[in-house]
Amino acid sequence: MDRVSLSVRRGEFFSLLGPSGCGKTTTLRLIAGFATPDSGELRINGTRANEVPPQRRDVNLVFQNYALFPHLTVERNVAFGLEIAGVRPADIAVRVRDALDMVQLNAVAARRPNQLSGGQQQRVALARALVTRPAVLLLDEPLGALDLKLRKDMQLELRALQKKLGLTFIHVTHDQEEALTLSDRLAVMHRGRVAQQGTPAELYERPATRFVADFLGESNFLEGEVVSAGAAGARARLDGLGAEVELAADGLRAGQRVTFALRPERVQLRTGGGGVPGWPATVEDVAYGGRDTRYRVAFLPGKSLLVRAPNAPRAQVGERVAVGWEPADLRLVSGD
Amino acid sequence: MIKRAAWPATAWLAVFFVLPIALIAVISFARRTPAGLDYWPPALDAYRRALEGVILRGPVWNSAWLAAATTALCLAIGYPLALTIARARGAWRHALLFLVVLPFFTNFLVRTYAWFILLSPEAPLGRALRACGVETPLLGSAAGVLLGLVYGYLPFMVLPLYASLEKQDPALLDAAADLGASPWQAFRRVTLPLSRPGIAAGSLLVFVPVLGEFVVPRLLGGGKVPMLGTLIEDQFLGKVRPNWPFGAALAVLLMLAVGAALVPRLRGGKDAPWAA
Repeated sequence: MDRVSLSVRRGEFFSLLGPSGCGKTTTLRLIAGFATPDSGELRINGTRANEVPPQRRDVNLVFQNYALFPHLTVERNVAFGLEIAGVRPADIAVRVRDALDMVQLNAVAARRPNQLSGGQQQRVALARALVTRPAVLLLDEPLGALDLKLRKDMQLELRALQKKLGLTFIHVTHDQEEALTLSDRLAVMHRGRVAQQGTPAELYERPATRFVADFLGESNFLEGEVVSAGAAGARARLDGLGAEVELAADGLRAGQRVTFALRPERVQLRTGGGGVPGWPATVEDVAYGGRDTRYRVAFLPGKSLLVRAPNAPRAQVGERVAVGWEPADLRLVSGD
Repeated sequence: MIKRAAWPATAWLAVFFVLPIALIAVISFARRTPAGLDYWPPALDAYRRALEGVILRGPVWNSAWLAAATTALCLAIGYPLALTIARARGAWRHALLFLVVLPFFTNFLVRTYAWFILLSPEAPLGRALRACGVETPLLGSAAGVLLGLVYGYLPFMVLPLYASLEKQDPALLDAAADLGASPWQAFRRVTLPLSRPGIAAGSLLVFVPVLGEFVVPRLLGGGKVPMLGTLIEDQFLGKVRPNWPFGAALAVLLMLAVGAALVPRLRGGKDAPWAA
């Protein structure tokens, strides 16, 4: 990991998103205290925590495979942190019951983890980490082991729980949809660095790098070259199209290669043959996707474009169509 | 009905396990006559003699406390050892494990003879003890026998402990630390209870064979520390008045006592959800 700088606000649902091996789990382990940074500083609630051992950090982790204690009942698993903290037995009983109520597991309080389904184990892990009321709850791919339907349900529950408790959640995932749905803010990590951080809308609408544009949702990439640059702004010409685009960014110089990201749903597809405004293209593939239809159209020599368009009217494979977009939908992204 | 695939194992057990035990049982009901053993009708003389018990008092007591003490000491030494090995990394772990089984490359009798030499009063250890004012010789004393037993049976404690500690998920310790447990609390509340099957297996593998052990008390006890094993051995191989039926009856009684003590525990162990 290299020069990772993040700040998470109190009461925020924050996600670290990235492919496996990007450093997101390592970041989480640094916060939990299971790894130490070579340099830099970690602050929890404003105080330096680099040297604080995990057992004294006001941070709890929901482990990827839950790491429930197999020899203890659900109840005793949840009580673990409270017993260690020396809470009075009567209070422990009340708080464990409340925590299990919160995740709707009181019915299985006396069972052992291996007698529970994956979703139930996940909730026990959540209750066990929440019952000690940590300042920050860390979640390492908490829903990764669940099937799709259950994962969707748990996403909503997790979000509702976080809002209700007002706790800070830091959540690691490789599932971009999960990160977008759950988070107040998120950071996309790539090769041990933070590629971009912001709200889901900021990251989706204004990806800063080619990687972010590609990893969060889908993107088409168009290459071009800066033709003029000055104090008033810059203009770039798109390869193969000859069209010029206004650029708001500064620091560009003439002759520089640039890349634009274009979301498939921002591409307009017009059927009806010749005379329709836009760039000519040929439909190569059509996939009906429920909410909309995905097209792959041959666009420039050796280049196809992904398009998501309403289901009707539908273009057929081989049909000549025209594609177009608003200049504002082209987002300048950096190369890596 | 025995499934076809189970035949070899069943035959093996029948020949090498059931048959010898049946033989011992038959001998235990025989009557001694000047002409030899008389097997019919079955007699209870041997059992009567065993249960009158005067001759047994010393050996039973020695066997019981030495087996218990050996088990306790093996556990005290073996647990930290097994834990260290289980938490060692790659090559280290294999090297340490190899060292634990290394003694098995030599015959147990030979190794016990080695201790006989090491413990003799003229060996460096004996001299050092005398220099410190300890006059009791190690050889021919319960302390010497205990030392030999602990040495001989330690691997049987370490191996099952290692097996149960090694398969514990290291994430559980992280989880305990994350919930505020100090390393000691994590050990006491997670590692230790999860290793209970290993403790039970290791204790069994030490306690039961030590009850019937005869090589160590014979060599290192020098006849001054009689145990059940040496008593039984005497009845079969002793130079003075061997008595096969009495020896066989003692063996059967020992077997029954161990069986009665263990069967309920084994069954309970299987029910424990974290066993298996």
